[in-house]
Amino acid sequence: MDDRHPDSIADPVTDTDTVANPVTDPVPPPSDSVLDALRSFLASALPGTALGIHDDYFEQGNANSLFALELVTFVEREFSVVVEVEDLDLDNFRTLARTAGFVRAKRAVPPSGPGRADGPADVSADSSTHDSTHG
Amino acid sequence: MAEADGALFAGSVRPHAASWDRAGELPSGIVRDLARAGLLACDLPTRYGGSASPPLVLGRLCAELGGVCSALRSLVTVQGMVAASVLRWGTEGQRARWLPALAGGDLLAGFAATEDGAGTELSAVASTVRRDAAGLVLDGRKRWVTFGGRAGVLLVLARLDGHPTTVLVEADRPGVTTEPVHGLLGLRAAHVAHVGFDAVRVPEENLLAPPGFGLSHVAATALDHGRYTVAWGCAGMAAACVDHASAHAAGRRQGEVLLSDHQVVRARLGRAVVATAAARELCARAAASRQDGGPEALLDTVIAKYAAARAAATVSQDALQLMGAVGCTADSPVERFFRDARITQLIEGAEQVAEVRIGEHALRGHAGRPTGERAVDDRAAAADGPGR
Repeated sequence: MDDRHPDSIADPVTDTDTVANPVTDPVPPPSDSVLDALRSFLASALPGTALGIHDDYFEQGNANSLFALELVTFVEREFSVVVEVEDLDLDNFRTLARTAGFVRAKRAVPPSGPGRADGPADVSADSSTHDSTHG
Repeated sequence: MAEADGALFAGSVRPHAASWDRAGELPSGIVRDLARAGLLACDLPTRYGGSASPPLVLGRLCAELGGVCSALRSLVTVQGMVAASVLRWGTEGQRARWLPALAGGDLLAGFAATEDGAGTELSAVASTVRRDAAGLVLDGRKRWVTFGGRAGVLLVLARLDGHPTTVLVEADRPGVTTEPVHGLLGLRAAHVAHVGFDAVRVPEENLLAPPGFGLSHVAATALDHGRYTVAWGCAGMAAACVDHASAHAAGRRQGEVLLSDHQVVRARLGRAVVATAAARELCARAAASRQDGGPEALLDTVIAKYAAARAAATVSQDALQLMGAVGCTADSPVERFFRDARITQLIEGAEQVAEVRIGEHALRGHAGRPTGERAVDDRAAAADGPGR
């Protein structure tokens, strides 16, 4: 809990059990637009949920059946990344720190870079894919 | 454009819809016919055989079909649900393998999620997938699978080591059995069936998304897409009911008085027109959200489906009331729409679950949770009943 930046606590946190792994999880810099946007979205989507950077928001049980896809589509549109099936690892998304880390890592990889030849580059080149998927 | 093709296709099958409903089946060549007209999974990218149709075009197509035959619209719905799930959560290899077959009509898809003990509460599915040296083994019994009696491939929701998991299962694999459901209230030509899986061997490459994401991501994608096309189909159904009721009222004379000369008849038609227009506008709003690609699209689609299914149910009931005995005969489209519309209030999220979701969203941005636990605590806004 000590390494949590004070600004990252949207709501008072009383339940330390929800802390994922403060030791090994990435610690975002104090001022982080990715983190701020994510926190703002989550504070709205999961009212009453502790949103310290290492709080596991899935584990707190406030997510409904729409939330997982809302998070995916928020991340995709807000940060201009494509969440692929290869990215489906709950460890990428269970805390603010991890989701922000995921976004940063995705942005760091050029869309046509190695390891993405099986779809994402192709997908993001075709604007219709996104529409097809969600519409 | 799929929309114009949809109108043409709908017009061409209009004379047959009543007999399909009576026979409880669609003609065997209908999947190919739909594919040839470019109406199956038309929202897929062109490289997978689709037309890259935007959400609004897909929606209007479903409204055209829904205004003629809900079983036909259901076929387009389930094909679209499975295609959307594979597009969204398939590997490139899976997309290349399944999507052209779905768009081309070589393969009809079904979505097998509901079980005896898991309808609205899909997180309770008890079907299991286990791994052994040779691949995957699936066991379970699925209920109310739309086109379950005809589908060549089924997207099945089960559990692997307890984790919700989705797997694509070809229907001709040993151990797959289907039991047709007859005498349903509505969607009688949609080949609804219960499907059993007894130690069905499935190759590992048929697993769609990693275990643990089958419900929250894959099934949720399928259901979201299904809600969207069901919504538009309902809007089309409501519009068709208004049309039939208006034509009847304008031409039907009782004694010396036209039915349409009664104020109460005009008022009821007016109410139906407004409900239909409102449903269509909410569908169009969902289309715009989906085009935009943001998180709002999920709830906007729930709202559209909720409103359109309600509109179809109330407007078809009003139309039936206006048409009297004529509307109640077996050959009346309105009688069929009335039965089909009722089913749409159950599928892809029962009305009550949708209300809870929409209400929850209204509470967002207000501090804290509402007191007490959620009345409906589900993981996927799906429902009992046929239509998936």
